[in-house]
Amino acid sequence: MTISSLVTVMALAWTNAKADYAWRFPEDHWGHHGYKTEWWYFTGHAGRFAYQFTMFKVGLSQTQLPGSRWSTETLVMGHVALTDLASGEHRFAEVLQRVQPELAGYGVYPEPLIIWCRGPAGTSEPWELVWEDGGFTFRARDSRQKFAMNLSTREAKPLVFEGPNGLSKKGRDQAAASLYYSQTRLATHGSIELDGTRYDVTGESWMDKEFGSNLLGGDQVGWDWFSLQLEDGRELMLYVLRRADGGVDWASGTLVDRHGAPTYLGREDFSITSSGAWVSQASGARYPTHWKVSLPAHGLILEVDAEARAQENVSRAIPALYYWEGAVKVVGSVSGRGFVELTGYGPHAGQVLRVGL
Amino acid sequence: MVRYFAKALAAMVAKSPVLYVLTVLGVALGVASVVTIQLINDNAIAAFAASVRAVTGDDELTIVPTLGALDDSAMRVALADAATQTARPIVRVDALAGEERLSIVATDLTQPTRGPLELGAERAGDPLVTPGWIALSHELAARLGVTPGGTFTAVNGSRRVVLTAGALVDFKATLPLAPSSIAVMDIAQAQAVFGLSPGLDEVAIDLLDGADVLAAAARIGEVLGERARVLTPDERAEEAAGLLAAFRLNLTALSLISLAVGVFLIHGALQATLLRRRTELGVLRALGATRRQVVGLVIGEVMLIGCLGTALGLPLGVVAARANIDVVSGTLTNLYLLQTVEELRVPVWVIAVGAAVGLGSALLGATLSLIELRREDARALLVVSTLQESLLVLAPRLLVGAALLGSATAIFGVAARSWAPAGFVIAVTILATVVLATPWLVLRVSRLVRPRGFGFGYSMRSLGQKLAANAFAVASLAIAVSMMFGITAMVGSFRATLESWIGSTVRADIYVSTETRGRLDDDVLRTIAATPGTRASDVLRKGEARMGERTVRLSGVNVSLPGVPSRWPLLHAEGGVLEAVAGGGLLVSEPLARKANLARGERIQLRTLTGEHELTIAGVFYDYTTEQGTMVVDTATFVRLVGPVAPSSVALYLNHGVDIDATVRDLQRRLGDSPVVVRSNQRLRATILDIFDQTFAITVILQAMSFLIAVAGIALTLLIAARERAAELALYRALGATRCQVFRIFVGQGLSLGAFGLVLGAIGGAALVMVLILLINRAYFGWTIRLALPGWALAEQAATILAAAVLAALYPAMRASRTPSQELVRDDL
Repeated sequence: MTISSLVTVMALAWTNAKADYAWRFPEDHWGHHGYKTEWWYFTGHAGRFAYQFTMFKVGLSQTQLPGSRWSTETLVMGHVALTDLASGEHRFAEVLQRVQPELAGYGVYPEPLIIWCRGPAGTSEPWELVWEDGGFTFRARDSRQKFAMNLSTREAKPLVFEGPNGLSKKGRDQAAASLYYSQTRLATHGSIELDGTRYDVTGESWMDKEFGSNLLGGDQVGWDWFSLQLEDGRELMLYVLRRADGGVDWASGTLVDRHGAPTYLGREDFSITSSGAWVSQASGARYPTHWKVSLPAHGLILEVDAEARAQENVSRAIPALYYWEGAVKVVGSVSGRGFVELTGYGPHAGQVLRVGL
Repeated sequence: MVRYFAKALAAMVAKSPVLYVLTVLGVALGVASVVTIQLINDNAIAAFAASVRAVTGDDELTIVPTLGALDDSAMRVALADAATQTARPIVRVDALAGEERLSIVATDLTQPTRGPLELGAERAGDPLVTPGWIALSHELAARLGVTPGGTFTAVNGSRRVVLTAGALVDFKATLPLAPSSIAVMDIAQAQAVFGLSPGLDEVAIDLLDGADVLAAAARIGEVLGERARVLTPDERAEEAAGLLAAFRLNLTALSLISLAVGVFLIHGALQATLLRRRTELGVLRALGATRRQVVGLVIGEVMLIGCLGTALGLPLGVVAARANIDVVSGTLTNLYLLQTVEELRVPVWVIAVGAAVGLGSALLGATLSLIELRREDARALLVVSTLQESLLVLAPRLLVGAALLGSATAIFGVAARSWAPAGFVIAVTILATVVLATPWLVLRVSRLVRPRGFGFGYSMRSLGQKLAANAFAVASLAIAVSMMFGITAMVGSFRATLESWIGSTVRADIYVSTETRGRLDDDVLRTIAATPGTRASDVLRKGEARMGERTVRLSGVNVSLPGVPSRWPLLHAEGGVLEAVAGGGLLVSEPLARKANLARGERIQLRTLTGEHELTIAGVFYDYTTEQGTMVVDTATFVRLVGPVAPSSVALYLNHGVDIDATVRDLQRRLGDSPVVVRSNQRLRATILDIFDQTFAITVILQAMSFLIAVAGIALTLLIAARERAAELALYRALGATRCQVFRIFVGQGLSLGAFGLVLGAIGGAALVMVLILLINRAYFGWTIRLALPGWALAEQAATILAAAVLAALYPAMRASRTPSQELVRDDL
């Protein structure tokens, strides 16, 4: 789960995520109309790199103003990051454009294009997510920051719903929910470029797809999210929604077994203790760097450690939008690796997210 | 020496304070007139440049279309260039909210905008989504009585829309000269809400740091080809400056003439002052003061007066500019659709120029005296009459000089027809001729008079006695009067020409248009078409075309309307012209024909949005609506050239006997809420003339200034005469002349000076009018103006001058008449 919409709620009602959604695949990999926010979220490890590729589709309005080619009811936002695990260096690039033939857009099944956006300043290639040969391919480049990725994925385990029929609740409020599924293991291959050198890589990705209209409850200021790929063939997804005072407001998760069968976890099924601190110069936020995750009923006690400290993404396009999204190592009952996302830390906790969600 | 200087000066000032005040005032007025005009000039251009840059900021490059609008491919080209950081689409909309002008700049508000337009994250989507969302300056919002979130109505063309004041922004924080009428909308909103046709007015490009601007401009320009141009901010400002060139030239020319008058007055004033000190200086020299010391004294006094005058004139100029900026703004807005000038900025260079003028002309004014002071023979200084004598001798030579100059001017005038600034050169030489001829004329004419008593005749005759001072006073008045008469006559002729032109072109009974120079939409057109009693209707469509490197305005009208005589007074009246136009030819307006050298029968190439076209010029017509020039074609031709564009205005011809005013009222009622202006023939004519009057309002100010300067010159001269002739006057008093008689003599002198100045000025003015109408106007605007002297206005001005001359003489006359007989025994002044 990641950042979502940043605009005020329109008077017209958006469609809320419901438990009886009729899923159809691969059609549901494409964008959905009527939901305020939707994202495609890829994280993974390949060789010495850890990467993130996220595209957001943000709804502004249910109706489009007639009479202008620039009228749009949707914005497309892209966040891409690359961490060189050998050196600990982290680079982040972003794009934000309105849907317009020259600037950004999203496709309709069955055309291959799922979503695209103009590259950042100085980059002539667009960022895109397409469906090719039965899998996702995503490409992004930032010529000025000198990094690029072009990766294709193949499903290694079946798709899993993060909640009954994909409904993922985010709070006590009925409406606070999203439709959420993950591809917890995607075999990945392709190329990564860094400072002019091109690396052919293979690795493993995790994909989250989520859409909904009402994703943060009343006093929630942010969340901690974990996606861990364990060496015994299982995957663990956990998220914790926090209040301003640091306490937990809502928490939930999914444990996926070797064969892809999910077990849904409630708040009482796990506990997470964080420690360590890394303070960001750019945002002033103070992030933990180490977590102890226990699922006693499943015999899991895990120590999760950030593989590099400075894995924060600070947006320049949207003021006060910053979050930590980083590759982590797992040791303990089982080893593994994964990603952790921390949002809503720092002096602007909750500002941006609350308004949009 | 310094102490002497201080004491002597203090004594002089104490003895005749009015004299010094007038002298300083003369310098001040000269400086003020230059400063005022330069400030107005400078601010007019700055305001436009600021509006161009207001929200787009100092984008390094702007893509503008050569014709019509840019399409989205221009965005693609801009974004594809490797040096581009951001490329922003810009659409500009002019709207009216009540009486307030809105200069809306619409752009993509999802992209980071410069400077003050920063919305917090929580409002990021509002501009795209809240209907009619617009960001206003605080001042404009206050004037509209709108608070954030509040709505108000605005009008563009014949469309009325509701806007929401989404945010109040301090645009001036980044651009101090941005007019408060600037407002910002998202491009989609602006296009949708105002019903604009697709396409962009500009694409504003920001390059990466360190990028080569000119190289990027060249690359992008090449890809775009002929349909667009790529400009830097300076180039854009220059284009605007080009628009205003003729207007500014006028102002500059007028200011230079004011300057000349000012310098003259300063010179005269100083002359007078220095003349008085000649004796004193002669005594000093005789006592052993070196030439350097004496010259130092003079320069000291001159510079002191110069400094005081400049110190007074600079703020005076700024105040005058501030007070008059509205007048100029009005003109700019009316004629050039430019932003109003809201705040006067006073750049240092204008102050510097003003100071240089003040001090420089003070020094210049003292030059003659300084030359004299350097003479060996101190005794020459003691004799007041030497200067007079030298002028007496010089007078005929000056006259010869004047005659030569005059003939040279005439020859030049004929020969240099094609050189644009020729007119100004000639105007200057005309004034110079008048000045040179003055001494001789004053001398000769005054000598013609044989006084029979101690009255007016004596006054006139005695003019010849103080020739130097009097000649200067007369000359400066003559220049001022020339200018005043010349300009009054030109404006009067222009107005008369315009009136008669209106008579032959404004023929329809009712005119319907919009206030924002927009278009009329279908509903409005239908309502107009349903007006009862209409026998014909003329629909005007506006567009543009490229002729070579020039963009020309193109108007499409119904050329031949049954029962309606031709509305285009042609330069060369010939038959078949309207038929030719109906058949696909075009009419060219006079200013354009002159500037582009076009004539009847020529074939020209026009490039429009629909392609290249060749047309034949069927005729050239008189047109005073714009100095840019227009071309007129028939509606069918227009649609072929430009496409089916909505009309901008409609003119209705009613049947005989139909009540026009009633029809106007009825039409207004039927149009209801539509923001459309309906005018009867009478009203339209009056409006045109109002705009004309407003345009020339600025000249009144300059006339007034010159007039003041000149009258001050008379007062000064007479005041000095009163002092200098004290002995003479005392003699007369001793011989029995009454005070009243002396008083009358002086008043008579004032009147004579005024009369001379008037006559010479009238001659100069007549010459000036011809130059203005035939040379300057033709060269810069291209219009034909028929000479039509506004008799009443001129007579009124003449009477005012004489009256002022008399008034100016009153105080000196009073002082003169008070000269007691004891003055006879004084031989110092």
